[in-house]
Amino acid sequence: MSTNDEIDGKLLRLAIAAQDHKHNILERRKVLTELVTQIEGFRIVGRPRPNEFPPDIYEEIYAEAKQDLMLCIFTKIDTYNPSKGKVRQWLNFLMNKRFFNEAIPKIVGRKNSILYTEMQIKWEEYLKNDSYEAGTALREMIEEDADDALKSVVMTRNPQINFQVLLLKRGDGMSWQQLSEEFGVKLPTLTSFYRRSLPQFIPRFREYL
Amino acid sequence: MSNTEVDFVLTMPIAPAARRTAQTLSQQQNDPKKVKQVYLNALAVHAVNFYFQCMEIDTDLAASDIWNPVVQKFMDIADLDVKDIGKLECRWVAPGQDFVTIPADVRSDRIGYIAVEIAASQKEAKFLGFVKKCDQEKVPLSELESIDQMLEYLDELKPVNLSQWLHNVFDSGWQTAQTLFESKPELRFAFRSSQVLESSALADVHLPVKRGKILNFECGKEQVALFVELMTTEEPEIDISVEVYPTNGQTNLPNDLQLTLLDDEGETQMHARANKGERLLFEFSGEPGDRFTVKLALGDFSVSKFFFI
Repeated sequence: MSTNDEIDGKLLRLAIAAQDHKHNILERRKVLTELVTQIEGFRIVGRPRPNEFPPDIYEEIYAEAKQDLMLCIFTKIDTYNPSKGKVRQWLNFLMNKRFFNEAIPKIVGRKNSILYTEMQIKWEEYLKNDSYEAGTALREMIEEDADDALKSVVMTRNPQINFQVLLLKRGDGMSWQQLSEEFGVKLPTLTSFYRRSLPQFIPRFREYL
Repeated sequence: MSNTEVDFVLTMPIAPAARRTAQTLSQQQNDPKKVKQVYLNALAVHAVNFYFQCMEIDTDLAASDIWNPVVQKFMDIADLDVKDIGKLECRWVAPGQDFVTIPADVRSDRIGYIAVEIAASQKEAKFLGFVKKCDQEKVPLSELESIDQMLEYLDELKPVNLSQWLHNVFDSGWQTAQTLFESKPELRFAFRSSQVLESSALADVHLPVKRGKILNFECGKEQVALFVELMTTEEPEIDISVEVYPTNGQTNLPNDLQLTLLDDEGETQMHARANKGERLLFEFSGEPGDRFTVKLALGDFSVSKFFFI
């Protein structure tokens, strides 16, 4: 475990290295990324004005302020003056005196939409989604293909494959892997064709979300 | 950078505004699973976009497919357009999960995939790493490259702006032959025979301007020096030469090294094979607005450099 002095020394070295790399953008990016990683890892930035706001509002204000502070570290590192204090002091000064206060009116008194809670996110459910949910109306629309527009979008080198066929088979729950095997066409070729075919039909599909 | 005891992961805040935008986008979907998937996709793209904004890497957030509810319905996409470079896919990872999911939908037309763990609170994102290519749905986090490597990769992919060379502005890594000599003494031997090169290296203020870079092949030891020279010009046309030299004290290029010049459509314009020669040279001319790619191939490995005038 590092002592506070060791941490401060490390942050100072990184801040100065970032300033020194003013003209080597790649090195500067790497050093700044490391600096911010350490700042967050060691929880250098404190939480100003606790107990002044309801917890959920406070967290919103803090997240907003933190984002502004981060942007400041990355883009204004050259304004940090080591002779005036440690990196830790510079950051907490900016947080306490500036960014937290500026964030308050962006959150408080604003008609906030209620955001998803932790309980509302069922992570594992959203991972398996190799297909799309085809409701009856959408399914019928694709099958009917009123003006043959969907089936007229054909893969140049594989005329047996058209956009309608892919939509129907995907709607049946077939995976890209299965389709790739069935048609004997490489998977990226299929998905690339599917992705390029879709945009022209956006207006048609919009009411079937 | 020596990073002792603790290995922290880059963590960036997700501001309320980004969450609100993501939530609004997600509510255009009817399928409840799709709603949350779109929400998480949008959060991942916003988090990466914010990091790039901090890094002063230009992006076009508006060009992302997260804004398009129809595309989101039929596919699982979280792309971010990196200006002049291409689309980077931003894949969210659930808290504590040890793999990243890269759906088949996005396994083409991408420059790479960045894995971003969204905190349960949805107020923070951890940047876990990235991969350039992927042909499987699940990639273990242990197989990812670092964010530093991603920054290097993006830097490599960034096209070199040759017009800036006329104003003495050079991207990192493009050095005069002289500087390359100093940092790589073993190069000196390779260049001894080249009078032209040494004299132009001394006078790089006006045309001709010549700069070079060491290119490594992924297979490891093999490397060559690529030089690009802007020669005298008759406005708006500019004569360009591309040269490849051996390094590491070698006098000859690897036998099966191939040099290809491609236009902006990806069509081959010039092609040559080293056949153990001392150097490869292409000469051609271009105009402002032109783009070209120099591709060096050795066996199964290749390195491409992108240029525009």
